[in-house]
Amino acid sequence: MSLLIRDLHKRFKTDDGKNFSALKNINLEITDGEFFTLLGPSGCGKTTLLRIIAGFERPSEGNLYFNGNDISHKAVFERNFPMVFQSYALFPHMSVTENIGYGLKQKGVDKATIAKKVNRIIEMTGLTPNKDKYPHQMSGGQQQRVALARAIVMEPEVMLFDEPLSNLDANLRISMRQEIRRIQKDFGITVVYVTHDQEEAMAVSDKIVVMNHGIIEQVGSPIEIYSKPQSEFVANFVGQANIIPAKIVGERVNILGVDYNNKISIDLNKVISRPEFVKIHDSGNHTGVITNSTYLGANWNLKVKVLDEEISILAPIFGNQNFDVNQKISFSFDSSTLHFI
Amino acid sequence: MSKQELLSNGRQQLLTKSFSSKKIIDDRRPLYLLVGAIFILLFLFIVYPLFKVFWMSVYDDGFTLKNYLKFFSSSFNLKPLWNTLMLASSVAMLGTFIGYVFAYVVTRSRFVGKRFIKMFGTFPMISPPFVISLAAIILLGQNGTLTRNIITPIFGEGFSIYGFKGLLLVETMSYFPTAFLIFVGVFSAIDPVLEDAAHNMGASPSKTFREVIFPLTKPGIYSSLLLLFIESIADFGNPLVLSGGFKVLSVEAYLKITGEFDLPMGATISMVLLVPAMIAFFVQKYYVDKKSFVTLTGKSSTTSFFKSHSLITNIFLGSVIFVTMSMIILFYGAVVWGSFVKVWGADHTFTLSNYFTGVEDSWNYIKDTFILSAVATPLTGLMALVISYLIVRKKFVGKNIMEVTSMLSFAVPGTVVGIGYILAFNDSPFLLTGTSAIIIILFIFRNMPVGIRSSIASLKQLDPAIEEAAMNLGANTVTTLKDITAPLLAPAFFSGVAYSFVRCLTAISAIIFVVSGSWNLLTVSLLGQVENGHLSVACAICVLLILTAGSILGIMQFFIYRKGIKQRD
Repeated sequence: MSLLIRDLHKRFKTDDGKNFSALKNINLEITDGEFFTLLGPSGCGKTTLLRIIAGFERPSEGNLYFNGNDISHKAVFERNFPMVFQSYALFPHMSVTENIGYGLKQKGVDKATIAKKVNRIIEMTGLTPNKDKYPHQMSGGQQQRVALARAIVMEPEVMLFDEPLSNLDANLRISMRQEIRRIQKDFGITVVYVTHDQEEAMAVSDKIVVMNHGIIEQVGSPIEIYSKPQSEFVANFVGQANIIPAKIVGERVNILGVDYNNKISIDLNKVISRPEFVKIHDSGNHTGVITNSTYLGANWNLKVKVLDEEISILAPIFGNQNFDVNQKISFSFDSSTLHFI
Repeated sequence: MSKQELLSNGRQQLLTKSFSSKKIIDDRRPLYLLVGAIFILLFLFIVYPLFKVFWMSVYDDGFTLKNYLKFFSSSFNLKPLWNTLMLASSVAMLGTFIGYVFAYVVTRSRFVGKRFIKMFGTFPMISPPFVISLAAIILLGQNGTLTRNIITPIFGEGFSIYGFKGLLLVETMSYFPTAFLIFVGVFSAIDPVLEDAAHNMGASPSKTFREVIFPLTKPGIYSSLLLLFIESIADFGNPLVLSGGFKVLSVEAYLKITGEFDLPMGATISMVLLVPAMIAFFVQKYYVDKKSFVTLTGKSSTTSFFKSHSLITNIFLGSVIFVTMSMIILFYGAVVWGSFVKVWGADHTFTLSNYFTGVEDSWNYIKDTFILSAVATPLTGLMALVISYLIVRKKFVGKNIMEVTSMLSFAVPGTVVGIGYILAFNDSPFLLTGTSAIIIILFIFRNMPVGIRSSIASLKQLDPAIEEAAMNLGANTVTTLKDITAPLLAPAFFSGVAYSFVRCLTAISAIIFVVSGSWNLLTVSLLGQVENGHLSVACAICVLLILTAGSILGIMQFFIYRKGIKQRD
């Protein structure tokens, strides 16, 4: 066990004097060496939670424990939780080398050791040609590397990331997130990572916390979050989802007038099916009319109207098959992937 | 060159290339006419007078350096030079320090009443140039209230506010607002996330200040030192009233010309005064400005803007603010009080007669001041707008020269300009002495730099893509200017106009050389009242001037604020 958050609340005073609850009753356990991601839309409280872990904000209620010690009121600069900022926050008047060595200098590490450690990190992150440059002389991607190196060189117990990739372009984003994940595994660092990009969260995390309006909606591995979402919010926020009213009758469940096998017999009345698990075939259980069709290269994205519901279907490209609006098609849900809430 | 400039240049080049060559010629002819006209005006009213001063100092039936030899060989002349430099350096340091503290508190602390502090940080800017000196005399002069009731009983006789001490005090109070405004800009440009990052990496608040915040403000500190140095060197009103035996160059040059009618020596002293001012100006513009750090960060996340400070820091900051604000309240309060008493220092019965006497005595001056300011101000704004538009958005040969020349009056001490104007426009072909035109022209070219600077700043913020979008939707150049550019620049334009009006009301240094029997100004008559010892009447005129200036700026701010809101909707 490494980082423990207990009954944490955070309230802010808004400009018009009202109280605003940014975080409500947060309980989390982040284990050693885990890549832990806080995921949610903007305003969900994920950045506030990260800033409380870093020590920039104090919790209004509740505690934060690190290796068993209560650190809720420890000053920022006494914690060793280096952070990679969204805007990188590189010191503009310091060179790359100085930026990276700044934290070690604060710790009172001797100059020779600083130089050795900084050089190793500079090599490792491919910054050698830029080591004497200043932040404004580098591209966004290079600045991002410096920000990363500046945190890693601290040999952190916990490393924090605040939407570190949101200022990069799409291709760089993918390669950087792979690199962050690789470094995290190589060094065995515990990472708390904030993002609003669900694909990014899926790609890097050991565990994801989905947050909304200051509360935790669900905690789980990427597979659990995607295949067993515990709320409509999670189902919709992480990937696309068909959320359809369903009636459970003993061993069977009735979806849009058709009975499917039912494994669990709890009193739930909605079923979730991901668009890619809706199969189009000639003798499908349901028949509907296409209301919208989008060609995506590898797939077709279809909206099909059945009874009063609109179902999303992600159909793989198959030969020259074409889907037009108003065309009638028939399909079935994959009963093994159905999930009830 | 900044990234922004590079981008806009590139864009300009692409645009130019996509036109046919015929079209470029058609398109550029009015531009060249406009540029030519402006150059003629700049050379005639800025460069030519300066050249005349230079010429007067070195020409006497042939080239000669005898005036300079005379100046530099006499310790009687060198003393004022030394005094001027000493005073300017001290004012620069003290004013920078106070401005830095004020700006730090306003932008980066949790102090209550920051709006109030901000108001005090800018207030001395709108007051006539020697109000603080006037207050210093009525409080600390030979017969001053504080001198008689506190200083003499405690420390005995012999205290004198005249000289270095007094000038350091009043000039620091007058000019620290310049430093304050510079540092408000500097501090606001430093992303608070950098402080977060430093704390996050283990730096304590005091270390963060020493190693991150302070180094980032260094270019601002150099700028502030140099600009305050220039302002102090150029100051004329305060030393004229308060210097006593402590001679400074600006006043010496004035006295040589108006007292001894020694034009060549007056010109020579002006040149000696001009050199350090010009050096400071060019160092600031071409060296310090280039060194400033661009904090280029993407959008920053939510940050807790105002850190709390340790008790000691708060006490330190608080006492600097408290002492400065008390001084301002004391000095201006004394002027207000002084305006309501019969005879300051002797008969403190309440009376309104000073106001009646003041307005009655100075009615012609008041009328002239308002007429001339009202004519000069819109012209100033228009000139500033046209020049800044040309500088930011157009490409033409000599653009740099235009920029430097138009900003030059920032650095040239008013005394030098005034002497230049009497030398240049005293006979044909440019006989202007004694007319209203010379005052209006002087107002325009003295006050233009402020307007140009603020217009350039807002033009640079205005993304050229907005204008391109208008053209892309079918608006031609003129329509775009009318519908898009002008409305977006209006706030900057009108606040520039308001400030130059206020500067007209409070100008003294250059203007004192060009006033005449037929056209005279309120500040000049005010100076007369002070010199003749009519202190209570002078106080009343000062109060009226401050109220007028304050309400003009207030009204302007109100309209700009409303307009700003409308634009944001």
